[in-house]
Amino acid sequence: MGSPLKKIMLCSSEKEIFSVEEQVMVQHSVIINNMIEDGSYNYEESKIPLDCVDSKTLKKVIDYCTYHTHHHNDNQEDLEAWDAQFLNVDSNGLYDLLMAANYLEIRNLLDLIYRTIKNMIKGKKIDEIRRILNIKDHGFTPEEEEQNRKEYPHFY
Amino acid sequence: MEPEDDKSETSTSISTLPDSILCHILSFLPTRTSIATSVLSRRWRHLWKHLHVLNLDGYSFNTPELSRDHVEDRFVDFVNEVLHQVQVRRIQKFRLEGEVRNYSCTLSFWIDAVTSEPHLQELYLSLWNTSGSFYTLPYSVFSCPSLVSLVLKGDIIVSFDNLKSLQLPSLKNLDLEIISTELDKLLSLCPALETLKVFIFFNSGGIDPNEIHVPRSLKRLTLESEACDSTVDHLEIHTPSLEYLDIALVACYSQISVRTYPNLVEACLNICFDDMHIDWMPKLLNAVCGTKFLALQASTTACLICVPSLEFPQFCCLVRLQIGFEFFNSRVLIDLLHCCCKLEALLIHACESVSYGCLYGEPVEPSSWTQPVSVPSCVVSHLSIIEFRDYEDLEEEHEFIAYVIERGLVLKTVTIHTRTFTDQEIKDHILKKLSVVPIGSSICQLKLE
Repeated sequence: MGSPLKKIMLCSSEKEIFSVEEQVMVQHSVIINNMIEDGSYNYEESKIPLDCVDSKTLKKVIDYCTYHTHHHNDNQEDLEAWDAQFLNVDSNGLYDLLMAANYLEIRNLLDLIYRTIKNMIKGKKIDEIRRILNIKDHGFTPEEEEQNRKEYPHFY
Repeated sequence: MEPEDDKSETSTSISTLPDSILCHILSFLPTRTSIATSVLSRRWRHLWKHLHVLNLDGYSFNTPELSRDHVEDRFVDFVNEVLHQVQVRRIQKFRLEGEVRNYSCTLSFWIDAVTSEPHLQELYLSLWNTSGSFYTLPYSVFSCPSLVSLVLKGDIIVSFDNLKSLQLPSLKNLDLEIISTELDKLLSLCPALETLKVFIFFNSGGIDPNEIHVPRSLKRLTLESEACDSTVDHLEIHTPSLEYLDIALVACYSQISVRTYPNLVEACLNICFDDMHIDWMPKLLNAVCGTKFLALQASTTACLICVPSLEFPQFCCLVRLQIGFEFFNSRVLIDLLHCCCKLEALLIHACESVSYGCLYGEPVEPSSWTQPVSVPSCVVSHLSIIEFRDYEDLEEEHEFIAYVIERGLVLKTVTIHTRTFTDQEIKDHILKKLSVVPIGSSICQLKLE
């Protein structure tokens, strides 16, 4: 619900406050939508504390929601190109975005991130994937590792 | 962006994500690949067994040295093993594609197993059988209460002895491209369906869908069929919430029942030329007059032209019109423009690749340009984009373009595509002829491609 230009306040872990069109967040975030709908958000004084999202990530999340609210009629190709550019971040940036999207329950952003991570590991050899995922100690005994190698020769 | 190396010391990394999220990422991969991640590390070893999404691809077992039967054997062993290891009752999405010839019973056993569970939301089956026989889908699929999306492709048959205790109460998306289906019965089981995409094969020994009644709840309908001599007696689209309509009717539809669709956004009509179709064309056109985007294929336009004393309805919301002509007809186009007061973009296909069934019937009397009595209001106030494909520089085409360029006060771009293999000389000539036309809009750009 809510009128299109109503604003809500989001507060990052650094206590920085971001003012966003209510509609933008309501459309994308299940959590915020629920807060607005059940009336637990007070427009006069409340701000939504997001203690586990830093300012840099929150700004990106807001960018994503804003763009997708205002461009949802664009053709699929343009949107995909924008998304690809948007997610052109290092793996830690991706991790932060994922945690934020997961916390705020922004399903299409989550899906986008999952797909991106999937593409990072798809078709890669095992050493490469271990490097991407930062797996330093696989924990297998040499015998197990030998067995694995036999089972998935194309993976090594 | 900061270089990646700076970050390697921080403790956050993808592999520290909780199992549920990692599993979710795995669910985007083919299950065979997800299983291979079990050798990444001890933690990953059993992760895949918590997958809620299975994506089983029989084609990934193809290798040059294996016979078809061997490939199938391996695939079936693989699926059996996967279903043994995962928690079948937690499966939300089950996607299976490949060639299954010798194991129909096993296949039905899998399908029964996943559809009898309370969590299954999506079922995708793409089954092919090069030996020429077909697979009949078990009834369990049609009584799965949680199923939201059902996609069936290939050599599959759907038929019903009776519909007793069958229903798909949650089904929102149905996509069918299968050899044979009792479509109308199947649709009657889907009271909540929102998106329907069907490709109908008439001639492959299947049961003709003599009547089609789409569910009232429908929002998106895409209906196509192969070209044939079959007749569908009645197509009923009584769907007050319809937003998107794409119908390619190349068989003969004796009767069509429609309503007005107040929420319609996009309509694409590809109606083959047929006397019966000419009868109900005005009714269909009236039904879609609230749309924002409209595409009329050449054969559809041909039908319209043959409607005796056709009067177009008012397309009050139309902003983009795509219209095909087997033979460009400026009179009909101007009449139509008079009914589109908000039209912003006009795309003309002078002669597109002609689809089946058309080209007969339409009178080939060359129409010619007559100066319209009044200028369509959209040309003056709204029309900003014109695209003309397969422009031949017939007198009528030229006069039409010249007319709108001169009177279009808000035109931004006019793009003319000549046919392929048009000489540069002819192109120069076309451009020269058009460049002497006075231009109504100060920002209008004329392009020839």
